[in-house]
Amino acid sequence: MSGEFSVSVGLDRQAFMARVRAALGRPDSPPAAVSPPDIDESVARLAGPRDDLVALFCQRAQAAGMVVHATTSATLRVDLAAALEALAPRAACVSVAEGSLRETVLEGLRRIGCGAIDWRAKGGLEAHYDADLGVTDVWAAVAESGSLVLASDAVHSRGTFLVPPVHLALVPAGAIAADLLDLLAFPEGRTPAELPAAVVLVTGPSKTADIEGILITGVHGPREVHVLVIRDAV
Amino acid sequence: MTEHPLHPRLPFDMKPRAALAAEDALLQQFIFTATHEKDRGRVRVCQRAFGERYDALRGLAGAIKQHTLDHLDSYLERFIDRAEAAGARVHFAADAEQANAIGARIAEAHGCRLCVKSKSMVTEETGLVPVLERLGVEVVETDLGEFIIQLDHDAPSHIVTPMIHKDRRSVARAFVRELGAEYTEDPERLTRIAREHMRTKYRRADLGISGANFLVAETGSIVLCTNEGNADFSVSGPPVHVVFAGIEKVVPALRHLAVFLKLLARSATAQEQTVYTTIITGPRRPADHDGPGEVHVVLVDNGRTEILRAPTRELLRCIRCGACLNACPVYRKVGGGHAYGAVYSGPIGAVITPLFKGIENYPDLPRASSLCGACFEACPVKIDLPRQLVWLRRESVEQKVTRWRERLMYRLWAATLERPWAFGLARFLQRWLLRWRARSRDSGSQGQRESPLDPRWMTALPGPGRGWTECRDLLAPPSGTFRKWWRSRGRGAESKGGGP
Ligand code: SF4
Repeated sequence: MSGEFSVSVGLDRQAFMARVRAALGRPDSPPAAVSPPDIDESVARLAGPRDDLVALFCQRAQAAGMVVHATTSATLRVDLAAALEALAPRAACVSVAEGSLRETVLEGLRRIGCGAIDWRAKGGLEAHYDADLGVTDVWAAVAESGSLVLASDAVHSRGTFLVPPVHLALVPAGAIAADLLDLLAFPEGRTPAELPAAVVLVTGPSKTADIEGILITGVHGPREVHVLVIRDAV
Repeated sequence: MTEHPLHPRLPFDMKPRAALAAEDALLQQFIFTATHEKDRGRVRVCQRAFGERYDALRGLAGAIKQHTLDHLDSYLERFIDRAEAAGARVHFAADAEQANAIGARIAEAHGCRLCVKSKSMVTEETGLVPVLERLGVEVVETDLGEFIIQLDHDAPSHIVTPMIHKDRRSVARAFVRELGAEYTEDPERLTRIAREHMRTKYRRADLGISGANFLVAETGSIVLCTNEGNADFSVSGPPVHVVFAGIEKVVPALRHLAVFLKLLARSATAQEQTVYTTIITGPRRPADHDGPGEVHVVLVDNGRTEILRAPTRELLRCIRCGACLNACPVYRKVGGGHAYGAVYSGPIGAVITPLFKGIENYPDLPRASSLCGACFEACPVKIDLPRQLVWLRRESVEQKVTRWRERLMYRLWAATLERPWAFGLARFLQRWLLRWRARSRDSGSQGQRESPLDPRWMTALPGPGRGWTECRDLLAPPSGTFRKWWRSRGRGAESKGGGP
């Protein structure tokens, strides 16, 4: 497979943009530099730094159908072990950045005799189909909506929070943004290629109401999402 | 089904389908319950989240989208530049045929055999799936509702909840027939069957196709919103991802996206957020272990630049939330989307379908509304749908699309209103005729001396009035006129100006 073929069907960019400009009534003028409209935060903001972000996040995440537990760095080991024991996975995939948190997770899995699948070896999402648990940290979280934010990179698969039937997410309090407006800010001077290829906001377990409006979870993605919030971690 | 529900022979006559649906009690009940609950849920959830700011937030979202459309050339150029900088390939389709051809070329070039596709209105519009199938590519719709519809060779009837018109029994039958599954009517088990079936497809697919809920000019990102996670499977597993997006999907920057994300799910399904909101910026990075190696974005015009001309530009603000469908009494009564004979239904469909396909091909749609304004109230980007419908009605009169009988009626109406004597005569005739036909409700006697306590009713009008009297009676005018009564009160009463 090569990326070197050219698709010679369709219009070229100039011809296509000429149609747009004609419709806007300025066929000959090149597009002007415009500055996007300001967002009136008194209208759009739903949560601010003055809110108790951990409490708000926990409440919203719960309302969205996730199972939320809170812990601290001191009790993390014990609480994580309890959570893993309750879930009793046989094989897990782990997408947690290198560091002590990752070590704690791997140790917890070892203690209950659960294998950690090396999903990087196979590539793609494939290895995740054999797992019955996916454990992740988060790129960020959003208090306003109770969302987990996951991003793809070398140690974070797009499959870990998606393919296994149960997802367990570890959320340090410091990762919680108040509002979507705070999460979705793109710093000046950055280039698009510096963003992760995929950033996914997860707000609840996979669900559908397509059959007669009856709510069912776990249609394609996980049917359960467990969240462990670490109150004093940044 | 002899005729495709969404691509019928033109010109399209709405009435037979609407009449059929009006007779179908079960369908009426489904659609009523589903839309009514969603509509009430939207109001409840938005009030709780935004309170008094709800209206202002809709105004803000509308203004952002309007600004983007007013400068669509600049924002599209920016989107293309940034998407390419992130490593995506951007293609340009003037119409449906070109869009499909681009999709077909990409599939061919990679020798694709199995495509997993998440819900996309644009590809529904262009008819992409049969084009790929003719190339020998198996295409699987991955949204549960769309999948069932595909198995049943049916068509979606709502832009957000596509199988609003189907029940669990039809799902059960389709799964037995097409998947060889055991018969069950349990929605939970039906969903499991679909889940397992779909996983075998995801794992083998070599092409992923999606639409886009938004395009972000600032970062060249595409944004996908689903509850099931099917879009994430479709665009994360296969090596190639092709996005089809209408040009109106652009928003200026990520922070503007935040505003729309606050409104979309609440308006669409009364949820705070869709379960999965996925922001894709180019293909996988060199260090990544998964994700497609190629991302293609096909920007589709297909009639949009026509609508972009004022005065219809505001219609392109639409974020396809479906709130106007859920709020619309006509959508409910005609049995959902199929009565509109096109991909887009409900109030927004009633306006854009004639613009896409020609008013002469859809003469009924501009009038498929009572102009009650419920759609305008519901719309998260404040599209003035009633005003657009009225504008379209005027267009259809000017283009002489309306039938001669209607035109004659309005001509006579206008002539009468211009002449006081004719107006007086018409009023006299109307009163006389109605009273002559009317009867007392209880006695059923005709033409008796009336008393105010014995009002007379029309129970069966002839001709075009018959529809009205089939399900209710019409009160006949009283014997004396208001003018006569007013005069009889004398000058003194008049100058007081008060009530009785
Ligand atoms: S017209 Fe407004 S309410 Fe209707 S689908 Fe579009 S955005 Fe939603």
